[in-house]
Amino acid sequence: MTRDEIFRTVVLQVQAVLPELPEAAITEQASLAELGASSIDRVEVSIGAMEAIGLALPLTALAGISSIGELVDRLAQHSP
Amino acid sequence: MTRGLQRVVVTGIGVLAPGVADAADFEKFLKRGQTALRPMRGGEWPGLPAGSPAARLEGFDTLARLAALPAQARRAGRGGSRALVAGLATGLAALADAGLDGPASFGTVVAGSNLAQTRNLSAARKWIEQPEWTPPGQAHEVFDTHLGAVLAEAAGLQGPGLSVGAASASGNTAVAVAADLIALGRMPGCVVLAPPPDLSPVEWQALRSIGALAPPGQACRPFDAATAGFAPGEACAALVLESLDHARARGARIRAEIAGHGQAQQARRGTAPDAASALAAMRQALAMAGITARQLDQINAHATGTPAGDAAEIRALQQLLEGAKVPVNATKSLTGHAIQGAALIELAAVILQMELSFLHGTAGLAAPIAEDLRLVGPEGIARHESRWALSAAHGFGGLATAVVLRNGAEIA
Repeated sequence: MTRDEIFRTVVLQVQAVLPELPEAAITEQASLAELGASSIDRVEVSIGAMEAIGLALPLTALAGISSIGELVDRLAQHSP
Repeated sequence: MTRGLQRVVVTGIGVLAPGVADAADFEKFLKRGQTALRPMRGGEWPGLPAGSPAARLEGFDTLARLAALPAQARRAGRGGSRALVAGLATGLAALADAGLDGPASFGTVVAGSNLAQTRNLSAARKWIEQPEWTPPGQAHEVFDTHLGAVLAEAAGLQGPGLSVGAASASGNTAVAVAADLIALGRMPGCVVLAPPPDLSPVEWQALRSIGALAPPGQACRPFDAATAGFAPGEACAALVLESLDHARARGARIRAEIAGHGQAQQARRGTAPDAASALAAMRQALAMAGITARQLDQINAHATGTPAGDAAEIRALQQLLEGAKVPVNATKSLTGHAIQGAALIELAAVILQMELSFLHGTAGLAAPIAEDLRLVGPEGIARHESRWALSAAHGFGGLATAVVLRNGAEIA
């Protein structure tokens, strides 16, 4: 999966968890916490994206991420 | 220092049932007296084979229902299952009916536990597929606090939050515990709610295996000789309970008083029904209300339509009434059995019948299993005044309960 495809996958997961968020707010620079996601919401996004990509990483592999772009980078590192 | 017990009243009703969007619809539905039970199509209700009698919320769209709620409720209910969103909407409807907006001191009392079995099964399936993909929300949504917390967030309720379970009697037991807490002054009021039944195909299969469910092609007809088991009903209700003083102080409409309640156990696990515990619970409720069985104007029976359960309840009613011709009807003949929330629906039905002075029919009752009781037939009773009513509910685990209601118009 290309990095751009992974970004689009993450956007879909964010929209599923926070359906009222305008799509334009979901940028590479945005932080999920600042967009109103709780800690569990953020894990929902990560796990939903992993499943959509076909990855089964331990969540420690996604530790220390602060922006959507960093999540996309981290998923891209492991993407088949 | 004690300050005496508060009297407890019902000031708000929310109902969601097949063809019923609110309490006003429910009045019309009860007056019409036509059952919502019909044979399910294959796959219409996962776990129920084609032809099984049941009542499903047709056309209920979880995302559309959630989207129609106010912003705070939409956020609280995000990601919620069909049953959770239905329960949330019904709890909010009860608060609106009571004329309450964000009563911060009010509590939430959820009737029943294991209220999200469909969601649990899908999480389990995901875990079997790939453990890392287990929905993380399962970490908190599996607990008994979740539905109450969602309603509390949606409405800003900061009083006590608890769950009170008693299987199919959960509605009555939750009302009893909530009423006692209000009577003691622990909270001024609360919402008592349950979602519609959300048993998964696992539980439906087990209920079929023990012969509790009416099989495909057969009928659920409470108190009728031809009944073959209970029929699920996808319905739910919520009641706002409040101290009489609090209700009066804000000029609320008083729908009914929770005058008494009783609980008894068979001291026996399992599913077997029993007349002695049913009778004990009804007698306790009447004693607390300070009335005799002869003073009752109506009884809403548990009456699920299982042959053994109906027969045991008839024996209990015969012993309670000793020939008194108190009319008895069965709301499950119209709505189906809503499991943990069934007793809340029946309390709502009793209150509406008391307010509008009628008794709804017991659908399908053609060959009553008892001739010496006044079992209300399918046509109902168009004009019937009620000052006092009793609603019975029984649950697996040998539980029997009863709640006595006093007509709100009687409360001076």
